[in-house]
Amino acid sequence: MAEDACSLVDAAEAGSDDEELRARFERDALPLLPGLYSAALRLTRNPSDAEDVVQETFLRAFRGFAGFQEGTNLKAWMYRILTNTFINSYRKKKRQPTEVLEDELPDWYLYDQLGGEGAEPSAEATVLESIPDEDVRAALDALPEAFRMAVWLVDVEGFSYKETAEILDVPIGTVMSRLHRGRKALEKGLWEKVKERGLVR
Amino acid sequence: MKDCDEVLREIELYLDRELDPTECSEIEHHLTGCGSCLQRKEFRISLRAIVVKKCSHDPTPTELVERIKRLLASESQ
Repeated sequence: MAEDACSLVDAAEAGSDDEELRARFERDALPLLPGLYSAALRLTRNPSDAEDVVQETFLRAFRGFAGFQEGTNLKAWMYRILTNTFINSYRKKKRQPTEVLEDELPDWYLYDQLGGEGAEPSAEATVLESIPDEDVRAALDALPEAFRMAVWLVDVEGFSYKETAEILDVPIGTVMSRLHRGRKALEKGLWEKVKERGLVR
Repeated sequence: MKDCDEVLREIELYLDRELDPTECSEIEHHLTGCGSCLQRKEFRISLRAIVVKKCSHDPTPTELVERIKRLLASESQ
């Protein structure tokens, strides 16, 4: 009888621990959802797949949350789970051919195309500003996955090279190279949009 | 002292906050006296700001948020 009472108390305590863990997870992880969903959209390029990847990411993260050390970088941890979920569960289903970037572009490609130093200061920014949102998204989505992720994580999410290397599980040098080449390819894509839309004379 | 070539080679690292303070101040010193490099730096900043602004506003489906909350609740039962 006494034992039964004890185990009931244990069960109640375990229940409240679970509740506390869930409350903490919801408080800390749910605010990351919009960013994770955008990242998943950039990864999958498809809203329905993005939802699946995000849902799976939250489930996996919650299951591993008890082992997550509070005070360490939750955002980077969640993005790493997102990337792994995408690679392991989703991409396997639709194996893509190895994507490569075309030949090396010169540095300052877009700057030079937009007139460079001959242009009025900030004229380039005005042209960039006039590119429709969907065109910028399309230009980013057109980058091969590895390059797209490096650009997304550093430029949009603001992760450091080291954090990005950990999220993608590649050396820092690889992050730097993908970032540099990915940015240039994005510049080329944006320039195509500028031309298509006739945004410069 | 860093010349234009060096500064332009390192500008991405500088803007990504991946340089140490000494290198940062050398670049900043150069930028205060070099309009051409400064204009390129401003261009990089605008480019990044525009990508962030135009690419990160995909509204999260409300249904997804609710579904995740329900899943978490059922997981912890």
